[in-house]
This record gives sequence, C-alpha cells and structure tokens, in this order.
Amino acid sequence: MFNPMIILSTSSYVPNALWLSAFGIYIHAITIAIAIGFSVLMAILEFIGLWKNDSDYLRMAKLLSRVLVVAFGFGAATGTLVEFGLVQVWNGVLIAIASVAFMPLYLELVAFILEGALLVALLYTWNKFSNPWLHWIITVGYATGALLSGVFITSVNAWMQVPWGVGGLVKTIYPWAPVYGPTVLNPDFLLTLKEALVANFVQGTTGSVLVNPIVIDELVSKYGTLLSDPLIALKNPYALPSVTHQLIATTLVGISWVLAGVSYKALKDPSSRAFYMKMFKTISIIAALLLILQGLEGHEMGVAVFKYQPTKFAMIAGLEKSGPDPVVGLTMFGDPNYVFDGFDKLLAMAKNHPNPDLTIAGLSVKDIAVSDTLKALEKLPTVYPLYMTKITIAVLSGLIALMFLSTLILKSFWEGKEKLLLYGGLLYGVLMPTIAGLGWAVREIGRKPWTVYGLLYPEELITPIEINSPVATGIILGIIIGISLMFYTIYIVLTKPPRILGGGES
Amino acid sequence: MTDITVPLYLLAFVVLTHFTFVNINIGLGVFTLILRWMSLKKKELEEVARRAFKFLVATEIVSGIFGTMITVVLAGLWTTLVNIATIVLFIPIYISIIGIILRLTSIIGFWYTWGRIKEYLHILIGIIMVVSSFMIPGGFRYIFAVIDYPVGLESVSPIVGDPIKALANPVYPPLIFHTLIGATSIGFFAAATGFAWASKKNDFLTPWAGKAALWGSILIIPQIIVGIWFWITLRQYSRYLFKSLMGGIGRFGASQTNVSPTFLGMILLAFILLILGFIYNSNPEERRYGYMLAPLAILALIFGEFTHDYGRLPYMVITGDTGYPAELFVNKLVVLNLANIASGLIPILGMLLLFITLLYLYLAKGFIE
Repeated sequence: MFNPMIILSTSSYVPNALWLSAFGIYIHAITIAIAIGFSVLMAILEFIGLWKNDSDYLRMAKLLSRVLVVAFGFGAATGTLVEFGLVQVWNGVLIAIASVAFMPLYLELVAFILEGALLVALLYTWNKFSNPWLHWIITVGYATGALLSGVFITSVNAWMQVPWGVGGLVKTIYPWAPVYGPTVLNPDFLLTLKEALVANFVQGTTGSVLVNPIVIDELVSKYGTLLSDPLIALKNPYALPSVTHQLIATTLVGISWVLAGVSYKALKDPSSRAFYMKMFKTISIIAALLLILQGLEGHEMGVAVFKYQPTKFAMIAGLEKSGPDPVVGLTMFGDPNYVFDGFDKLLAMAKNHPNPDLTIAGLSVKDIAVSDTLKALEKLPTVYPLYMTKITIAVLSGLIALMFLSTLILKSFWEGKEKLLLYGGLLYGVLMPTIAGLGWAVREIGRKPWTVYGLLYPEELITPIEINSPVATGIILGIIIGISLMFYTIYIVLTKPPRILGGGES
Repeated sequence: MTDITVPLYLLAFVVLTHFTFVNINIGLGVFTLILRWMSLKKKELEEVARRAFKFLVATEIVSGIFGTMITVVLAGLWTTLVNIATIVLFIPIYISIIGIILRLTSIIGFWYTWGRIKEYLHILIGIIMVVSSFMIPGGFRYIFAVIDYPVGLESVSPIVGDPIKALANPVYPPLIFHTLIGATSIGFFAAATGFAWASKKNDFLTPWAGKAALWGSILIIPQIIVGIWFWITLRQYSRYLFKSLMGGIGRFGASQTNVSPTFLGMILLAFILLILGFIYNSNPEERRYGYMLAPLAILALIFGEFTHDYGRLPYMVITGDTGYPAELFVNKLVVLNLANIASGLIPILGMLLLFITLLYLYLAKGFIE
C-alpha cells in the first residue's frame, strides 16, 4: 500500500522553499500594485486634467509618476528575484518554461520592454510637448504595458492552476477532474516523464534533476516534442477570469493606497486640504466602482474554479461533506438547494477509481488519487477560513464603497461629515491589500498538493540543493534592505520633490 | 541534427548588448562613487559626480531590460543548460540575485537621496551600489567558468553537482578579475567620451574627461597581467577553448573554431586604449581622442566576449580537448518557429532601441550640455 507519509518525510525543505517563494511574491506584489494601480490612475487623472484643463489633476498625476519610477526599479529587482526563485529554487518548472510558458513569457518580455521604455518617456516628457495629449498617450501606453505584463504572467499562473491542453490525462489519475481541453501536450512523453518523476519522488529525490539534456533527448527521439501548440496557455479558459480578477485586484490595491495617502493628507494638512479633498472625491469613486466590478468578476472566477478545480472549490466552500450553499447555488445555478460536491464525494470517486489497475512508477493511480485528495482535504481548515475572512472583509469594503458612491447623490448629507469619508479612505487602503493578499493565498494554497494542478508536486520540481535557514535568511535580508530603501526613497521623493530628472514639479 | 542557429544568435545578441551596457554601468558606478567621495573635500566635484551618475542611470535601463531578456532566452531556449547551472552553481547565482536586488534599489536610492540626506549616508548607499554591481558578475561569471571547465558537475543525467566544489573552479579567479577590471576600465572610458562631448559647453568637465581616460588606461596594465593569467589558466583547464583562441598559431594546435582574429584584435585594442588614454589626458582639449575611447573600449569588450564564447563552438561545455555539443542543450520540447520569433522580435527591439537611444541622447544632451 502506498504510504504518503514516507514521501512527505523526504522533502524536508519544501515548506521552507514554499514560504520563501510566498514571501518573495508578496513583496513583488507590493511593487506590482504600485506599477499597475498608479499607472491606471495616472492615465485617468491626466485625462481628467487635460479634458477639464484642471492643473490639480495633472499635479496629482505627476506626483504618482515620481513614486512609480521608484517602484518600477524595485519591481524589476523583485521581479528578477521571483523569476530566479522560480528557476533556481523550483528548477523543475523549467520544463514548463521551455514549453507551455515560453510564448507568454516571450510576450511578457515585449510588454516589459514597452513598459520600461515608456516609463522613461513619460517621466522626461512632462510639459515637453506642445500638445499635452501626446504625453497622455505615453501614459496610456505605459499603463497598457504594465497591464499586458500582468496578463501574460497571470496566464502562466493560470496554466499551473488548470493545465489546459493535457486532455484527459489528469482525469485518468483523478476521476473527479474534468478533461482539460484538447491534447496538445504529448501524453506518452508526459506519462513517461511523470513515471520518472514519481519514481524519484518515492525515493525521496527531486525530479528536477531529470530536466537534463540526455533525458529530454531520449524522450523527444522516442515520442516527439512535448507540446504542439505553444499558445495553449493563452487559450486556457481559466486564464481570462484569472487575468481579469488579478488585474482588477492589483489596480484596486494600488489605487486604494493613493486614496489612503490623499485621505491622510486631507486629514493632517489643513493648508492643502482643498486639493486633497478634491482628489479624494474622484479617486474614491474610481476605487468604489472597481470594487463593485471586482465583485461581479469574482463570480466568474468562482464559476471557473467550480468547473476546473474541484478540490479547490470544495476547500473554499468548506465542503468536507457535499451539500448546498444557498448563496453560491442561487448565483451560479439559480437554485439555492443545488448540492455541491464535497470531499466525501471526491474521495468516493477516487476510491471507486475507473482504472484501479493502472500504475505510475509502480504506484496504483487509485492510491495516488485517494492520497492526494486527502492531502487536499488537509488544506480545507486553512483555505476555508482564509476565504471566509476575505469575503467578510470584501462585504465590509463594499459598504465603504457604497458610502463613497453616495457622495454623488447625497452631497448635502455629507457636508460637514467629510472626516468620516476620509477615515473610510484610510481604511480602504488597508482592506484592499488584505483582501488581495488573502485571495492570493486562497488561490495558491487551494491548488495544493500540486504545483501544476493534478500533474506535478512541489517535491518533484524543487532543487536538489537544500533550502536551509542561511539561504532563506540571506534572501529575506536582501529583500528587507531593498524594500526599506524603496520606502525610504519614496518618502524622500514625496516629502522633498527631486530637482533632478525632471520627474514632475520642483 | 538540431538547428541551433537562431537560439545561438538570439543569445549572442542579447548577451553582447547586455554586457556592453553592464560594463559601462559598473565602471560608471565606480567613477561616480570616487568623484562623490572626493566631493566631500572639493565641493565643485559634486556636479561632475552627478553627471557621471546620470549617464549610469540611462544605461542601466537598457542593461536591465536586456538582462531580463537573457533570462527568458536562456530558460526558454537553453533550458537544460540553465537547469545544470542552477543546481551546480546554486551559491554563485544566489549571490548574484542578492546583488541585483541591492544594485537596482541602491541606484534609485542614490539618485533620489542626493542632497537630501547626510553625505556619509549617501556615500554609504553609493558603496552598496558599487559592491552590489560587483556581486552580480561575481556570481554569474561562475556560469562561464563552469562551461569552460565544469568543476562541480559530477553527472549530467541525472544532474548531480557539488555546489561547494564548484566554487573552487580554477578558471574563475582570473575570469572574475579580468571582468571587474575590464568593466571598471570600460566605464571610465565611457565617462571620458561622454565628458569630452559635454565639455564643449561645460568646460569644467574637460580635466575630468582626461582623468577618466587616464584611470581607464592605468587599469589596462593590471588587466594585461590578469589576461595573461587567464590565458595560462585556459591553456591548462580548457584546452579546446585555448586552441580556438590561438587559431593554430605556433605549436598550440587548432580547434574546429578559430577566434584568433578577435583575440588578437582585443589585445591590439587594449594597447591602443592604453596609449590613447594617456595621450588624451595629457591634452584633454583634443576631444577627438576622447571620442574614440568608448567605441574602442566597447569593441574590445565585444571582441573579448566573442572570443570567449564563440570559441567554444560547436561545444557549449568544454571538457579538455572536447566537450558537450551546444545542440544538446537547446530546447527541443516544443517546435517553435524561431525564425518568426526572432523576426518578430527584431522590429520591436529595433523600434525600442531607437526610442531608447533617442531618449539616451536626450538625457545625455539635457544633462551633459
């Protein structure tokens, strides 16, 4: 009988590496939220400023551009860290980078080049064109580049969540899984590789050492190439809701920080209160509308999880046992009594495996399916509370958003109560990243025990080099020094505007 | 037989472009820090330091973008080679990653805190900036050392490496000294050329254009010594590459690839730069000498890198008189229309390079003149 505990004990440094990756990604996310959120907001404010010929909006847009350049530099640094972290700590992922992820990463590179070049342009060309709309086009170009980078990177993550293009391969192992699109990943190649990975896994060795020229050459000469459609990650139906959800969330977080900033200034700085209140009114409406949009889009994301990630859906719905979820049932199927599959059903499907005699590297697929479904069930007590906390905070934030929107029609009501709105703005700047952070945790923990859902485990992809405390400490220390410098620099930029570089007014 | 032409040329293009700008950046960082430190006693030097640093910022953007491109090209097209490197060279790559984080953030910090914090703190950020710039090649040059002489690589399939043993690669010490001295020297020559141009309107830069040239030239002397050390080391540990760069001269023997013209060209350029730097410093009003320094230094760099990398072909990893063929490491997992990819990339890059060049000129013009 296959004993998962034996395997788990051999990968002692996987948790270290997972924590380290999570830390790196969250830190990177801070800069991404600034790069995307600030640039989208800049494009909107600059548009309003030019359209209304209002210098206040242009002043605010310039202020954002100063912070943007600092965050972009640090974003590039932490992006490199995440990229290397992926390649170096999870080097088995190279097999995906060289196949499914190649085209999205290639296109992301083009977007990144666009982003980098246009950032320089937008910084240096403030007030330089006789027609100021030309500068606005550059700003929009930069924001587009930043958003496109997000599109391509998220599509790679979406493929790791739902490996579209493997056809019925995952379903062959896990009976509860859907069929993941057409078969454009060579099943013989993939199965043979998986056999080798599982064999290594059982022996407590990482499979990443098999991503070598000899093994790849042998597999290619025997079965042909691994992938026949390099664009498959972009055709993944899970990619569109993922991209939309992530980009709205990221934009919202960035904008919420600006909102918190202007709220703070309006509360603390009486001399410039009028300016910051004016900015607050516009930015709070944008932030409120985005949250409502995210609520609607969240439904699409939920539907995608329901369709393609049965274990994750059971985790976030807290379905240890199958049963109805009135709200979700009503919104998804118009039926509050709709019975959703819980882990009991998924486990029963795994136990009544249609191919009980099938083996991978000597292990019965039935045992693998049962064991992995149980491992997913172990994550339910973590994922479910995280998800519920996220939803609760989202509801609370929704109330604040409604409060912001009400200023459009209840102007007289809010007169003399502006402080309440400003405190709401401050709170928004904390709640939005909290929701996004929780959402990302749900997304990532929810796909466990796999790194590529239903196909590859973290233990198969990790480096053979032990990720020990000194390694982790060094990286964390580097990041902390870096991020401290970033925040310090942003502080300097905001409090003592630079004379050099022409990044805005003196 | 796998066609490696496009992956190879794509890699060569991004690596050479990246290295050109990186070398300039590293040297400009050192130059800026020296000037900034000197400005503590001579206040007027602060403006000179500022201008050197503005050059650095503009070139850093290009090198950063191309650095990201290298990662994608390597991981996407030379996948298994990258995997071997990440396992065998875990520690050096780790050091480089820390270096990248510190370098980028310290540049931004140095830029925006100038004149806004205490001078010693500003110089401290400058020191972090320079040290981290050395850390990046300090780690990555191990990749070149290991493909010249694969110390620490115990098996290719499965990949088995000894990351500690890899640190003792005898090719590494001369290679890294050669790299760092060379980069500093190239950066000084770039500053000399930039200042020569700028001094047309800012006369106070004239002596510093000469001094930058002089310092760049002086560095060629240790560079020659380290170069000879590297040459001897290659002869001992990476014989195939050594034969490639000697091109059958004398009794050294020949390999399948002859890179002796670029090797000799690099040596010739080094001597020209050595002399030209001294000449220009003796009369910095003669700007035409100054204008020649950066292009010649970059040409020497390209000759050197070409010699080192093209000389390995048809192998990618040298093992004495033979090696692992380059085609073994190229990505075969997916049929990519590489010609289309490359041709799609070229116009985009062309446009962006033109754009960046114009900006660069604008920056240089705006700042320097």
